[in-house]
Amino acid sequence: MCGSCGCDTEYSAHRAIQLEHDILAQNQKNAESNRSLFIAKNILAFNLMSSPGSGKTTLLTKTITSLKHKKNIAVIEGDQQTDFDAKKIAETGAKVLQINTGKSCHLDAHQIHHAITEMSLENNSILFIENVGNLVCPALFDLGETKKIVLISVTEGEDKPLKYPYMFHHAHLMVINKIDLLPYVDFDVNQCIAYAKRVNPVLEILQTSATKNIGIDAWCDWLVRQ
Amino acid sequence: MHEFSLCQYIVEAVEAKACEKNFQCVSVIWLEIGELAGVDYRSLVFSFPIAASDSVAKNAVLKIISIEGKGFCALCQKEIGVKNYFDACPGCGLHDYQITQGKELRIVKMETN
Repeated sequence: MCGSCGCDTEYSAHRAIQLEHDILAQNQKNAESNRSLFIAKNILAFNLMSSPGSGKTTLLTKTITSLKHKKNIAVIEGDQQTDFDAKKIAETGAKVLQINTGKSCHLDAHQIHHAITEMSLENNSILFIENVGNLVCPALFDLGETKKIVLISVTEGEDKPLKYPYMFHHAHLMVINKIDLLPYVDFDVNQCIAYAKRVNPVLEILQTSATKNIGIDAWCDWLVRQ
Repeated sequence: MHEFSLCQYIVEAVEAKACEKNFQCVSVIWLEIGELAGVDYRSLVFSFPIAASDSVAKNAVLKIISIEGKGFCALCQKEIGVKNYFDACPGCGLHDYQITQGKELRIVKMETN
């Protein structure tokens, strides 16, 4: 009887089987497939990540309003439950698909593959993937995006880049949002940038207020230049 | 918690190997996990039995080989130890080094009965 699970199969000896297998190999394969499609169709795909409540959805609605006359824009929304964010995006007229992850705390490349298959994205367009609100897990999972963007709001504290170094290390751009609230909160913008540069010296930085339309032009310029 | 997702990937890889090599029971799975990979070892070990409950690995033990973080500082022309992404180079005090080791997330081997 097998000493491990009690089954009746007879085995002559322990066997060691080499795998040498990357745990994220399947996700990486799916991500590269997504990436190939984006390149083939000249689609700029942005993986937008942040804590819950940093302003991702509001920033996206303002972005779509600013850019939709120049570029076709589509959005994939990721949340554990509800389609609240997808409904807000839909009001802008952009194509949107909501993924509900259930208990999972991040989107993965397989989910994105199914989403983009369903959405029939146009050539020369922009795709935003608004990831599940979480400064930890989403950074580990390549979705095939062109660039990773991390959003932080001034109500969160300038030490976030040090507290969540993995996310900020792997991002290409950090957007500091809600800067209209700076007079009312203890947030040191220069310190936040200095902390972020420790974790990622080549991280690009932008500052916005999505609700007050501050910094949106510079943000849109950055997007279309990628 | 992303460690559960990682466990699901481990189970998938082990199951695929089980089909290929024709075995039904896995007793040990050896992993190499880098200190900079963003993975909590205890969460991984905790999650694994749940992720593996209906698989050939349901009674398997995870053995984790920790890989230390290292970087190369171009200014100092030296390899340095890196425990966190915000660590400064001990030589020049700057952060412009390249990570060379410590991001590994690998299944090395497994033992079957």
